[in-house]
Amino acid sequence: MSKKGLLGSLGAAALLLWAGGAAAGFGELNMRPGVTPISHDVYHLHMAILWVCVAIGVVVFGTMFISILRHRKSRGAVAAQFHESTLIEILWTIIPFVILVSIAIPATKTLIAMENPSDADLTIKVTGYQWRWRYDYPDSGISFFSNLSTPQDEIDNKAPKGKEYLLQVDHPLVLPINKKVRFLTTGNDVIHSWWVPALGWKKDAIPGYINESWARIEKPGTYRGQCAELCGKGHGFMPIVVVAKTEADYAKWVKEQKLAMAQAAEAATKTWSRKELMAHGEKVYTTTCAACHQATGTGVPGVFPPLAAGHPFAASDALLKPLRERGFLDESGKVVMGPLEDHIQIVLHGIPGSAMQAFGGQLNDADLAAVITYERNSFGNTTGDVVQPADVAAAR
Amino acid sequence: MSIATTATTAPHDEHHGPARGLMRWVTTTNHKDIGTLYLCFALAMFFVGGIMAMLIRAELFEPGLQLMQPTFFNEMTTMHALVMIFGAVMPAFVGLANWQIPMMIGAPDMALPRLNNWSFWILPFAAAMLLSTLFMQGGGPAGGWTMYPPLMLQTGEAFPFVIFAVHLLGISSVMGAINIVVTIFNMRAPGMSMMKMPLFVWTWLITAFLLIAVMPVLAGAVTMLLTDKFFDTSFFNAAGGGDPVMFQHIFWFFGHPEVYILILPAFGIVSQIIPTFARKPLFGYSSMVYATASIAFLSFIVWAHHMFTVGMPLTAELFFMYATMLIAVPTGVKVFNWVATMWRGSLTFETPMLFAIAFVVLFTIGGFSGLMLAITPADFQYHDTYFVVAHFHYVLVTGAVFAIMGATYYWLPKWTGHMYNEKLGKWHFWLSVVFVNVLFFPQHFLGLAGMPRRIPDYAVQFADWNMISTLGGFAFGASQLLFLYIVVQSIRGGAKATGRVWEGALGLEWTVPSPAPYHTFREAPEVH
Amino acid sequence: METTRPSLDPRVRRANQRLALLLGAVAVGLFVLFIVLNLK
Repeated sequence: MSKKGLLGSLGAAALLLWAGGAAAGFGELNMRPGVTPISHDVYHLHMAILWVCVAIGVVVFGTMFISILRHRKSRGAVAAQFHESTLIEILWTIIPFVILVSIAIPATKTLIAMENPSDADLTIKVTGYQWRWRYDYPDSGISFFSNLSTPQDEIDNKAPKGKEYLLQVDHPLVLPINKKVRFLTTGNDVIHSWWVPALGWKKDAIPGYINESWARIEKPGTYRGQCAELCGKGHGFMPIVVVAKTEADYAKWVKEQKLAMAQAAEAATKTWSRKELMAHGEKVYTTTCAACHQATGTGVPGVFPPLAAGHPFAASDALLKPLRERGFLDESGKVVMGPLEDHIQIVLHGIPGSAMQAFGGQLNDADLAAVITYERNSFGNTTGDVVQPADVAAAR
Repeated sequence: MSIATTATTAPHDEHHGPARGLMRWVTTTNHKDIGTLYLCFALAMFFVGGIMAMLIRAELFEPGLQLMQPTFFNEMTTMHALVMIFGAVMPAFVGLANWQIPMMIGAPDMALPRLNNWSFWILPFAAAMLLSTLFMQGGGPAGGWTMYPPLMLQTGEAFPFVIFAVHLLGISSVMGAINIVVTIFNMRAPGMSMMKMPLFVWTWLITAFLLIAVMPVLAGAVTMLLTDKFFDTSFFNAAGGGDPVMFQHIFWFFGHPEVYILILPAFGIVSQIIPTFARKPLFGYSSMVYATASIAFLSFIVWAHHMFTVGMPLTAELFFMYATMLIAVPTGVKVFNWVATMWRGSLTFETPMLFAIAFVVLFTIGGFSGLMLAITPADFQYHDTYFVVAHFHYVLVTGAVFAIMGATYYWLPKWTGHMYNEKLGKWHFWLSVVFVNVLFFPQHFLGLAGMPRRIPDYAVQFADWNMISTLGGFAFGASQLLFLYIVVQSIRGGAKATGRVWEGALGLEWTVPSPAPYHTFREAPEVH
Repeated sequence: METTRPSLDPRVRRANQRLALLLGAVAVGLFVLFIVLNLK
């Protein structure tokens, strides 16, 4: 094959990619400008450096390909013997340096603007959990978890995937447009990263750290993003959805949220029926517990214990001991439904040193009561226990 | 051939050639044997890591989870990187160093031959231990090859074995590096001044210093992970007064020079191959030496560009942006010098030259995406996406791996005495170069479109490019079986190779017969 | 002062080699044992 083949095949590949790009689905080729002034700046910087690289590439690769075509021995080329030139070395050191400076200047300006979260109109606290996000609005007292809402059947290829597959949540982050929103980002367990491409940046969510960033969204709409720091098995399954509303719609939403929170607080003091607890408990279990303990309650061998009594749990001593101590493992290594008080304590405070988190700070009394009731009466468990939110409150 | 023995010479009889059988390979102190051991080990690890890559790409063929659970996927991405970096690329470069450096400088062997043997033999044990973690309770490491805490501390029973494996791999590298430095400084033939050394020797000398400087830093970082898990320290635990980000600083202080360790020998290889097939001296020899040294120096002050999103102060972000952009200058100088070497040469395109040319083009593309990544505000969008994955695979696969393959084709005739099958070699090249681009170029698009790294499943708008990338991956992987066949075939037979092998080849290694005798340059050659 | 150097005496060399082989075998044995004990 002639050496034109190298040029030819690269050219053909590029052509194929571009032609294919025109077809639907392959249209995802480039970063988008986004919906904030910063995201626009970042987009322009990206395009600028891209074109600089293309230009340099054309010059360098062009020279090389001319050489490949013209200076081949088979064409009778005789090798020259020159092998140095201080002048040319200086030139092709200085010229790239100048090009770099020309990029560094606008990049510096954009970075300085990005790292200036002062005079914000609204502050949002973002906390990364394994494997979901929590949003707090300190000024309004609103607080909620935002969980992936894609049905497991779609992930398991048992149902067709929707358009927003893996990018949909139960409770999106709602923000007003045209306001400077300051984000305080942290992590609860491991490092996560909060990224919405349309806003123009991402920021790591680090346990023990609070990172500051800001955005001013210019257009109402729904903007989706994902966790961008490996955080375990659920890393690909903790998306971010931001719904940007006009100021009026935002104010309405805040009022609705406050009302809903008041109702939930009421629910925590009332007496629930067993049916209500089981229904609500199943929802909480699916969202919060099934990731590890599985929808069937059978856990993952060696890693996450089953919640179904009678099921064996083969694991290291380090994992078995805390279960045995709390009365949830019998001598034959099978899981049992231990005492209710211990069950409540495990869910409230977790098991230190293991992957079982403390959910006391993450779920309210009603959620906790419901999920514990659900666990103790599902998967073949027949304790008949019914836990009221007041019981959980008392156990804290 | 007789050698006057003095009372200080050990009475082992070297005239009967190497020992026979398995023990030859276990006890050898011969740089050629040890080079062969490293290269065979590296090739085997390349396929192990390659299978892991195929599993990853198979799961990513379509949206949805088809083949594996997310935890296993994370184990695969973690192990794929560890195996390829520490099991394939680094040992391959050390194997090439062992084979070539003594011959290139006219030395009879490495300065510390028994240390050389130990440096190699650590590797199979370390690799076996690392791979065995996949079969331990809790599975193998799944926190990425970067091992960030707190996530890495959630590793199961495998944890201490991973740490120990990293220590062993590091010890092997440091011992090898010391050997290389001592050899190059002390055993050059008379007349071979430093500025007359082949570029491959220069780049390995500089790489060896980088290794000695930074492998202990990695050892420190992983040891702190170990004590955090088992001995109640809180180096990286904020609740105990520590800092998870400090791990990242320490790791990347190792990690950035590490990636230059992974590429500088490749630069040296390309600087040997291109002049040979252009029949023209390397353009700008001294500039190439100074550029390599500049790159090595700069590599120590750019580490935080891997951490732009952790929340560093603005001044730090600016400093690391400028320093990182600066590395493009000496790197560019090297690329220009290679092109200038080709310019007005008398070019032929045997397989080694094809790989070297592909290196210059495709590594430069990787360099371009690297330059884009250096721009901090833009990096906020690229970081932890497939754009980064595309970047480092361009510089590592079409960069380091292509250089290693080119070097293999270049020097195989010297090692085996047989010409490899040139037609098959060209087939291997063309299949590889086409499919490696089908595999990795679309990953730029995926990253820019918003696909994060290290996810086993993805949103539907990423489906098409992922499918293309996977198909490219399978084809690229399959093409490497051809390489294996060519290498094995060339060991077993083939057209007889001359001493010089290539018309334009210059250098001391080409003055000895092919295959190179077991002991070469027992008498120092004359160097002009 | 006399400098020390490895013994040339074949009996000493044989003994040293046997010791090295033994220690090496113990090391490899422990290495394999600890891995195998921790496999699932």
